[in-house]
Amino acid sequence: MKDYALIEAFQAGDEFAFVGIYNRYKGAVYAFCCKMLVDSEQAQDVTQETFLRIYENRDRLLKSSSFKSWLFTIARNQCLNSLRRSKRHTGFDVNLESSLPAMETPYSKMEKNEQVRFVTQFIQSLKPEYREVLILREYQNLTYEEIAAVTRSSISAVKSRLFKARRKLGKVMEPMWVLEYPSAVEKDRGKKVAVLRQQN
Amino acid sequence: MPDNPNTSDTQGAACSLDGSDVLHRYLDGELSLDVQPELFEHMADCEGCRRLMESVLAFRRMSRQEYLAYPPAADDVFFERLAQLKTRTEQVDREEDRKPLWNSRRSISLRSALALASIVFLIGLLVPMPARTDYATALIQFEVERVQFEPTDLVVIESPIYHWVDGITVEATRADSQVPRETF
Repeated sequence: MKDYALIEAFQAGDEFAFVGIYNRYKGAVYAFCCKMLVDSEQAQDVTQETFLRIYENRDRLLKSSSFKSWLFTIARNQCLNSLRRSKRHTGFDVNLESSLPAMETPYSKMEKNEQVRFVTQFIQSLKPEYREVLILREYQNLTYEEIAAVTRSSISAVKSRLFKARRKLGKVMEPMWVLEYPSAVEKDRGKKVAVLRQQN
Repeated sequence: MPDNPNTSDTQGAACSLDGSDVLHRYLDGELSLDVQPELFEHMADCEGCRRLMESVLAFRRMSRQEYLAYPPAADDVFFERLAQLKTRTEQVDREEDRKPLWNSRRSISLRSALALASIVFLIGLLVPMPARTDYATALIQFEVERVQFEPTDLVVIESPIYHWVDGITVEATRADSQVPRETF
């Protein structure tokens, strides 16, 4: 069943359609909340709160608007409220560089749990306005337009925040590349460039 | 943080993509195919851009290492909360239903009450009333109702009356003028 049909049935009062929507999107919303809050228990609570809000405000969803954007808008607002309540306005952590495993280990030598820890710490070091944009783009694959709708900002503001977050990432990961042996990505790209040069 | 991604210490020459979002649009799959060869050519010589791209791609790979699954136990909690929400909504609706639709008391000022009373009095004066005599006649005519009873022949039957009191049977003769005290 397509999203549109499910949402239409849900708005008409079909309870099973709501359960369908919940089952379809709970994972994505939970992943978003987990990364925003960096706390799995709080993320569960906020995920549930998000779907309860959707159930309550089903009449407010316009047929023309994107359900996904609406869903993440509610989730994002709930996350920001939760952060505000717990007073965890995180910004750049001055001790981040010393705590990151990337500073000592090349990327190819990093273990799985080290990689997960690095990603979590990097996201935690970002301010909420940069964090949300990066998560929506890298984890949820939302377009610039959709992210702008979720964050209630302009597309240029979304791009600006996203690119800044990436530059920060590049800066944090720079020592890693110094240690790193030329990776497979680099080799592949080298081949691609060579092919393009031949074509031209 | 500078806008230029290629201002690292490791980079010698200035980047020609300074302030451009070409690399980011490529990473997001929004760069047109005809511009891509130029970007690749640039990256072959620009270490800053190359490292930024590698960083973003590595971040993507690393972020996929973590599997974030919604715990099944949380589903039970959610449906419990949903049931509570539904009950709460129904209770609110019932309270709304119990409220009177029109018989609610509202306080009004003395001035408004006096004004309303005088308006009603004036309307009462202005409404044309029928003549008093006509009204009385109409009422009397309406009230008069003639009832006629047909005369019937009353036949008095003299017969013994049996009276049972606690199993005792009494036989007696009833006269025309006598009214039986108890009949069965």
